[in-house]
Amino acid sequence: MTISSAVWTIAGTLFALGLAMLVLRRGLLAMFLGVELMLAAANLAVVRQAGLRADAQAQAAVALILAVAAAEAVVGLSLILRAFRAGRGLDAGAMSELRG
Amino acid sequence: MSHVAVPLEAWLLFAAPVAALLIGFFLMRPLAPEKTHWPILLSCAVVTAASLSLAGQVLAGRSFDVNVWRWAAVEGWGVDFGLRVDGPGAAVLAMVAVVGSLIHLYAAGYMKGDPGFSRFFLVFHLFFLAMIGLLTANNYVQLYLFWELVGLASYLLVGHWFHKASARRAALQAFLVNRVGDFGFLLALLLLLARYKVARFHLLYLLVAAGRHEMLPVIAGLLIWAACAKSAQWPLYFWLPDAMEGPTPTSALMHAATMVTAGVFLLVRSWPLIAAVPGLPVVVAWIGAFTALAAALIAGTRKDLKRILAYSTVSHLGLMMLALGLGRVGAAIFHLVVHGFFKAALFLCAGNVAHALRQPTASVDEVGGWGRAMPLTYASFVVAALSLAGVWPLAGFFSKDAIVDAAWERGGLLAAAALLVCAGSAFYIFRMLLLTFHGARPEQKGLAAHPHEAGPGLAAPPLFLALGAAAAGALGPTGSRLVFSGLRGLPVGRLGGDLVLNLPGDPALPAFSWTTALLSAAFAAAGAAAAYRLTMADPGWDWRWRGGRAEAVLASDFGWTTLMARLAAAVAALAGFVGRVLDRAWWDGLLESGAAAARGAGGLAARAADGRLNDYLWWMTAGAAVLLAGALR
Amino acid sequence: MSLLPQAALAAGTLGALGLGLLRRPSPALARALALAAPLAALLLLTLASPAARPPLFAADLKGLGWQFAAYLAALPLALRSSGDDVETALFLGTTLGIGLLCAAANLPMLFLGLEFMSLPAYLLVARVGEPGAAGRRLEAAVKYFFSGALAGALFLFGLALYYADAGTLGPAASAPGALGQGGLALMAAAALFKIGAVPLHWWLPDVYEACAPEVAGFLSTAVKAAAVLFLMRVVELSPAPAFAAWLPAAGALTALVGAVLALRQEKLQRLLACSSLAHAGFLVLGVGAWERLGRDPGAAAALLFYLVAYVFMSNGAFAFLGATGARSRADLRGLAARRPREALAMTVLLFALAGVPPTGGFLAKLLVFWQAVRAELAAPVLFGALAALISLGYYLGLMRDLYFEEPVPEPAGRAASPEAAILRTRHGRGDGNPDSVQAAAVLAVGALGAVLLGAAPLFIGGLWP
Repeated sequence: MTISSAVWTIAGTLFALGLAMLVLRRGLLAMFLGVELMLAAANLAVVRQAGLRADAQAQAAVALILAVAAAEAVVGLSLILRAFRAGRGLDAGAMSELRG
Repeated sequence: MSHVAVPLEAWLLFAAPVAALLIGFFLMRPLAPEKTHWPILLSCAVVTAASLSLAGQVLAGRSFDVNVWRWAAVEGWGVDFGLRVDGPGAAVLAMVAVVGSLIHLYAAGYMKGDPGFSRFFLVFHLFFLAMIGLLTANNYVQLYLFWELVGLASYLLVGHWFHKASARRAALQAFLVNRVGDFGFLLALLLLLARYKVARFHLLYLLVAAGRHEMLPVIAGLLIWAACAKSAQWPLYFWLPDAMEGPTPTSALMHAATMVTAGVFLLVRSWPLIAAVPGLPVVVAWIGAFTALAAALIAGTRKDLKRILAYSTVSHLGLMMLALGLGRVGAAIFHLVVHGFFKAALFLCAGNVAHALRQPTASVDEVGGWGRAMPLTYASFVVAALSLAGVWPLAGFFSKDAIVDAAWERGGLLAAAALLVCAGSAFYIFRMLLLTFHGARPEQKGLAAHPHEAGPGLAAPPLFLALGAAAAGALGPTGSRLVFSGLRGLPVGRLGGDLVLNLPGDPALPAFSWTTALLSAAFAAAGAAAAYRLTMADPGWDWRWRGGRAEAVLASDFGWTTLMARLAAAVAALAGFVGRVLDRAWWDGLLESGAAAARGAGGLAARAADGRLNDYLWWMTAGAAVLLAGALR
Repeated sequence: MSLLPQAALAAGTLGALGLGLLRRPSPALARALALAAPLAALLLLTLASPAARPPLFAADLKGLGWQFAAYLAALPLALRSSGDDVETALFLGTTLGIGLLCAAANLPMLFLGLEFMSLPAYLLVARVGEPGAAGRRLEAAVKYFFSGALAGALFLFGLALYYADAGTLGPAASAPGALGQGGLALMAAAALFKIGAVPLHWWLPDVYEACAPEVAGFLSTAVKAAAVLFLMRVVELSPAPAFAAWLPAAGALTALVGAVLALRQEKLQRLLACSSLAHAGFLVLGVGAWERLGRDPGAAAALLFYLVAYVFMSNGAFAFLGATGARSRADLRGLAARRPREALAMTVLLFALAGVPPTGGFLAKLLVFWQAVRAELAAPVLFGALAALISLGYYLGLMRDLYFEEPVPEPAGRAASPEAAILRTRHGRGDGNPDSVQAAAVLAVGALGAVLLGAAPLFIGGLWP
């Protein structure tokens, strides 16, 4: 197995796992972790490709994406924290007042 | 392309009515409804001045056709607002302006005291504006828009006394028949845009002249259909007599002078297209001749004053169609202009007679020998009637002679029909004249025994109109030069006959022919004599033929209305059957199930949106997967 | 292309954040900042010239045109801002993100713009509004966040796939292979999510329903405009994207779903949200047509016109909710008698939204449908027209509620006067409600704009020299 295919396998698996966590889990924190996992998996793939092509711009892009992911984490966690503090619990399934 | 800037008068043509309408609607209607007509009459004056000035300019050679504003543009397709003021347009516009203004004046007196006075004037003036827009349009889309607006205004005006069931029915009928015609116009318009990509008249003239004839028979046929509906030609004429339910000013303006002539005008504008289809102009001529003759005969048998005039209008429109069909576009326009004057005058006189009876309309049974009691109205009527019958030296003689001349040249049945129409016209108009203003009937009772002249507001306008009907003949050479003049320096289109639109220089009036003049005079005299014989010399005759089969046949327009009524009944029966049996289950059910399906789909979609985040995410993932799979196929 | 507008917005954002450092919060200053920054951006936009071609995108007026639409769309929310410095910073941050998205030249920038636009938006949804509804807003924000996060992650993975295939993070000269097409499809999915197209639309009704009306107006216009450009940029990455064939169908389907959903909504904000879905469908249909016509600038112009018209229509409609305090269709009954001017303006807007001539809404729909017809997309056009027809059902229904229905009688025990009932349902910002003036202004401008645009679409030609 080449490095590329290994990376693709890992990235793909991580992405799928993250997706599964996001869609199938009901705890907000778990869902959030799934999101982070997906972002990391994508980043992994990009890094591998960037390294393969010795593309500095792409590697810089990865750094950018990491920063954005961090910002997303801030926002997401703050929302989750608010939900917790508001006493709504951390159950996505319970949040279904808005419907129809 | 003309390099003339759009003159101020052209702007005033629109600005004045719009301003009057706005003032009338927002200021007068709430504050002083009985004075709504003041800004409107002022606007009429401005429009008249502007249109006469424009006519003068066109005579001097300064006609123009410019696009003013592109109001929608996407790649390769655009809709413009433009103005075209050329010989035909300016001539008809001047007539509409003058006649329209006088009728507005008349309406101020006639409609006084009517509870819907303010509404009437506003819609009346809206119609006026729409007509102006129609006459100055430089492309089919604009013409169609104003055509529709004219139809809408006519519906509102015919149904003005909407509390009368007959008026409502007449308005609806007028509207529906016009819709049928409009549908044809719309189809033609879409075909034009699809095939030729342009809607502007002179560009189309160029294209057709260059040999582009795709779908032209269909387009031209549809335009003729639309014109027949609007100008009340057979078979779509029957709405016009019934439209007499509207107030007299409405009948005078719309159904005599302007709206019905919109159909003829459409054909004038479309003539290069129609003439390019071999055999189609002749069809137009035949439709015109047939309608003219049939309507003239029917007019001679009707009792209601306004209905006689309505059939007369149908007949004269047929004459205009005949002229067009024979290629004499100029003659058609000339007759259109002159007809506007004398027909409007006749309608207003009929209105005065009815007004004296305090009725919306009058029948020949109710009047008689009123000439002495209503001298002004009588004088107007006589002059207008003589013009209609084509008596020299009034204008009607010249315009009708041009048409008879064309028919005579053609020979055959068309010539015979034209001459018979002369006779018929003289007959019915003299019959109406003699029965109304001469002789006396012992049946006169009540008010009818003491008719009096209408007030100056009602008597003056028809007088002026009648003078116009007469004088247009005196203005003959100038008037015809205006009518026959075309746009200088613009691209030409070839036509048959004596007139080529857009021709540099100006073709002269067709030569005067003694043969046709004497022949038509003879036939007219015969018709008048017959009218005299049958009304005055033998007063009882007018009743004797009634009640018989003859009357039944004529009353039903030679069986046409009976046929239409039977056809309508059959359609209604079929609709009833469909409605009763199938409607509930089928059409209604279809509509209902359509609505239910939409609601049900909504319910399904709403149930899917159950508020649970994970479900949303699941659907999103599935959707993305579908998109992915689709892209990878 | 010049980034001066974005710079102005960045300055505004930082300034708003800096306001938090002041000892005493100053609502007036925050409001002024909120209004000044987008206006400055608009002004600076006129100075920007497309002569400076961005390195990796073709000569592009789209970025400028879209920025214009987006900054215009941001003004109503700026006008109605509450003066809270955090909210102002969030609002300006979102607008800055939109500006970055419009100016993006390659994929990382596109992602940056997308996230920069979305993250403050999530918080904006949660924050702005009356205290009583904070719970619902939070739920909406959570849903928005996670849906957006999924979309962002899909975008990133798509980026990875595309990069692996095409070897560049910008437009590729040749059509990518299967891997690249897959990547493009995923990136397009992210764009469709942001627009609210089926099947990634689920968040939209919930989010628009729960957030404050002015925020909903902002999201439905500015953010949606940016999302449409986002989709177009993804299309532009390759000469023959395979996913583009699905766009017309997705658009028509979205329009239909939006229309049928809106039919059954009783809550006004959710109804407007579903109607926004329908309009999004028309936009996606338009993008599909644009692509099929070979990325024809005329088609793009039609889309831009639709978006600008929609800015007026949607902001006006949501402002109506703010100006009258009406929440449900039952609240509308008899409103025309009590608030005739607002009702009239709303009627105009409803006509425009429904696409009735002679409004700008009609012209916009006509232009987009015309492009679709030119692109020979018969079935999507038919379904789109069906959706427009169905939408008449609820637009006319709202008009009927306004004018022809009697008010629902108040149950006993509540305040007797209808005025009190209306006041109760407004944002609880105190009596006299300063927001209603601005809301009324936005309503009026929205209605005027919706009508005037029908008469003067002259700038379509002007935008594309």
